[in-house]
Amino acid sequence: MHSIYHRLNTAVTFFGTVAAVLCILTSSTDLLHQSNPNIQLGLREVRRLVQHHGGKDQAVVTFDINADLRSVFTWNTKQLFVYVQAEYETQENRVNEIVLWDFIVQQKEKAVIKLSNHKTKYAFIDPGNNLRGRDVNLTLVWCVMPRVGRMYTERRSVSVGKLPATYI
Amino acid sequence: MIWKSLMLVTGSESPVVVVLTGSMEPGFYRGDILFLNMGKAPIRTGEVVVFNLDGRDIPIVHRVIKVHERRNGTHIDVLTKGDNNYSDDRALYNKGQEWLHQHHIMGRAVGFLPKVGMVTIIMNEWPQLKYALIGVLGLLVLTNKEA
Repeated sequence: MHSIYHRLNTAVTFFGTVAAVLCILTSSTDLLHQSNPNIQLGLREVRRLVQHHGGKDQAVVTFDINADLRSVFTWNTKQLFVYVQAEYETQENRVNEIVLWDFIVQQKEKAVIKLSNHKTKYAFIDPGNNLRGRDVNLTLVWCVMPRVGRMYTERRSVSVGKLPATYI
Repeated sequence: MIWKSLMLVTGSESPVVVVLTGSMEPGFYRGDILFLNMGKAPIRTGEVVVFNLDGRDIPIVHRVIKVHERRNGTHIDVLTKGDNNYSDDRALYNKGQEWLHQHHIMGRAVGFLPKVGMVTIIMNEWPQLKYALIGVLGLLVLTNKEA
């Protein structure tokens, strides 16, 4: 009943159980966290609106962002994955979401993002000819990636009006 | 038992995966464990999804960066990208495939545990270790004197 094998087994199981409970408790502290980041986001300019071969519209845009995400960090936050996306609706597609730019913040002090007239990282391309005159929302989303436990996301959306009615 | 109940609760065929590559660093490293949930909620950008390409059996864990969902909700086009990769996953998809669809996606990551899965990676890359461990355990069972 007290062999070395048995003692090792008990010790390891106990360690595993305690570790699991601690992880769950740590992750739960995130639920109590309130954050209210200050965010300004806007579309600066639509530089081009073109149609490619195969009938796909592309918009080349720049944006401004002034976001203070420091209050989003908890003691259990490893990094924030932050991105700006364009959202719009078309006849065929109820939902279109296109990530235009993304950024990783690993330290709370670095969580202030200030960009002006910034080019997008990824192409704003619609699978069809649907971008002329289209109402677009720009949304800032941040994914909180924990040291341990539950991952969650928060977002702020801003309407930027219509894209130009003709190709430019 | 725990595995099967996790499968039921999360609605996913594989409720826990081990991260195998560095394509999602610095968020996820090789050996990290991801808890998956499928659920009925539609796929949206920012979600870290696990997908299987047709004809390949190693699942890939990357983030959704584009979504186009049809009006009647029957069809969805999804594009993914690893956080640590320079370009999107079109180079990984099958020849001529531009998008992922609902049936490719096995689950989305909702929880994270660092490094615990390193054990399975080590076992896979050094099978001698696996056999040695089984041998030692077998020996312990055989030499155990208790009733």
